[in-house]
Amino acid sequence: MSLEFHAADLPAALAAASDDALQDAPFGVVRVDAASTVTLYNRWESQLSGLSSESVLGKTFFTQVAPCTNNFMVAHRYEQAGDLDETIDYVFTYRLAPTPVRLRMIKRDGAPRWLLVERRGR
Amino acid sequence: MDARLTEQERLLRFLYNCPVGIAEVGADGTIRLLNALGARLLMEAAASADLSNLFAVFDALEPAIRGRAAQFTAPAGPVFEDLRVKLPPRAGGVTHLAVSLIKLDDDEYMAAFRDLSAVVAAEEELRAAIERDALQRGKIEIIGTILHDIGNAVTAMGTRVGRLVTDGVWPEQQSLARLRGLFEAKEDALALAFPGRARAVIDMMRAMEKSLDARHQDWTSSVSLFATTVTHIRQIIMLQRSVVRGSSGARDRVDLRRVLEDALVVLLNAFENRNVRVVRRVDPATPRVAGDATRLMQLLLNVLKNACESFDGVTDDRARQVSVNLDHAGGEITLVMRDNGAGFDAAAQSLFERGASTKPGGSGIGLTSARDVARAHGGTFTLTSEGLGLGAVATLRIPVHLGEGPDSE
Repeated sequence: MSLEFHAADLPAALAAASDDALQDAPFGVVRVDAASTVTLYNRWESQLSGLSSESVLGKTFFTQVAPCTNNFMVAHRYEQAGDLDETIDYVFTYRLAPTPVRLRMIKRDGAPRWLLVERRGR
Repeated sequence: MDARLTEQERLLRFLYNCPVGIAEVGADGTIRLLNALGARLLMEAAASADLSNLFAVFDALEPAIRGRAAQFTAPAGPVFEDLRVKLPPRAGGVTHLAVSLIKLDDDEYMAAFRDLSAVVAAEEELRAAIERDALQRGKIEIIGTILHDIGNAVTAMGTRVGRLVTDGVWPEQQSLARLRGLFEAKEDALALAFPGRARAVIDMMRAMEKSLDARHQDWTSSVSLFATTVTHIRQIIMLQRSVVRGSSGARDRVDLRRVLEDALVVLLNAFENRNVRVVRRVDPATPRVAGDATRLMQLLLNVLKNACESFDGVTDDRARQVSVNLDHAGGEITLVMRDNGAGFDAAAQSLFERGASTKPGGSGIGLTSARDVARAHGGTFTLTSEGLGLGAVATLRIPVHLGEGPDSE
């Protein structure tokens, strides 16, 4: 099963995918646990940010890895009760360069939380 | 620090994680470089997810940012510093930013952003506190003015009433007595005018005299009662005025015996009207204490008034009594005020919590302030009761401070 950023069944596909498949996804995949600790940081995301997977794993995503998301628009969305599957336009700053991105934020109760990233044209 | 990182990577991380939002901006506002906090704060400010141009981000919120950059003609230097920008309100609060723009050269500007929300919230809290304080002062001023006006009116009334008290015998009484004396002396002549009824005329005049005397006596006692009441009102107003003016802190050598006497005099009528006997036992060697006579007076008035009014709830014909005992021992003055009035039950022990009172229409504030006054004198105040109908005991203890030995007048 291939992973599609906009697919409606992406939450289920992510849950079913192997770590290798997640690493090969054609968009950024960040998986965090309930405490926002990074448990997977895929190749696509690593290439764009310049941060190796090893340097990021085990860190708190919203404060240590991507403090630009630590606000009501992104980080706080995961803290709200209930399921979450929302896509918003955002701006990351990879290597200090502002980069327009599309974020898909997914949370299913009990399951890991996902932050998916794709670039969008200026 | 991660030793595996290259120097450039470390520099990048340093700037990325800088606890101030920073951006490198072109003369036209193009954002070229932006760190993490900068991206976070600008995303909250931007109407759409577009951070390509700094001026565009702020155009709707604070057009002065674009304007001031355009007007800045110096080759380099701060264009503006810590310009406050309020972001659109959202659920959970309002974000305030402080934005600075520094010109490095013709095509390079540095922008800095800080989240000022906590600072602004603290400022607003302070402003609100100042306003509340001013409002409170205003109220106290109004109360002061009212007390002043009432005080003047009562003083004028007191002067008039005082004159009535010293008025003495009415002229009508004297005229009538003189007329009766004349008629008595000329009883024979009177008998010619009223054959066989001269004695009756004189007796009638005597009766009129007697009735007038009785009315005069009644009038005199009413007027002196009135005068006492007016004096009482004046004393209360004077006390309240000094409280409003903030007399607390004025510390004198206070003679509690004197304060107690004064308080009992003020309440004399209240006790008499309720048929309450006041029994006092005062140790004549009671030393003075360092304190505020006005506030102590107010405490005693409050407590004794409560004791007195507690009889309003008593329906049986017990011998109503308030006993006051002023004593000193072991460097401490003890004033015990015991009544056999209505008392209160255990549930009403919460009397001391502000707002509670066992009196209908009472505020309970009097007893709270009694405790405050006692504390201000380094002492304690307690009010207890064995139960409903069993009276109450109020106890004030104040330490005698060093150097405040027995005092003779």
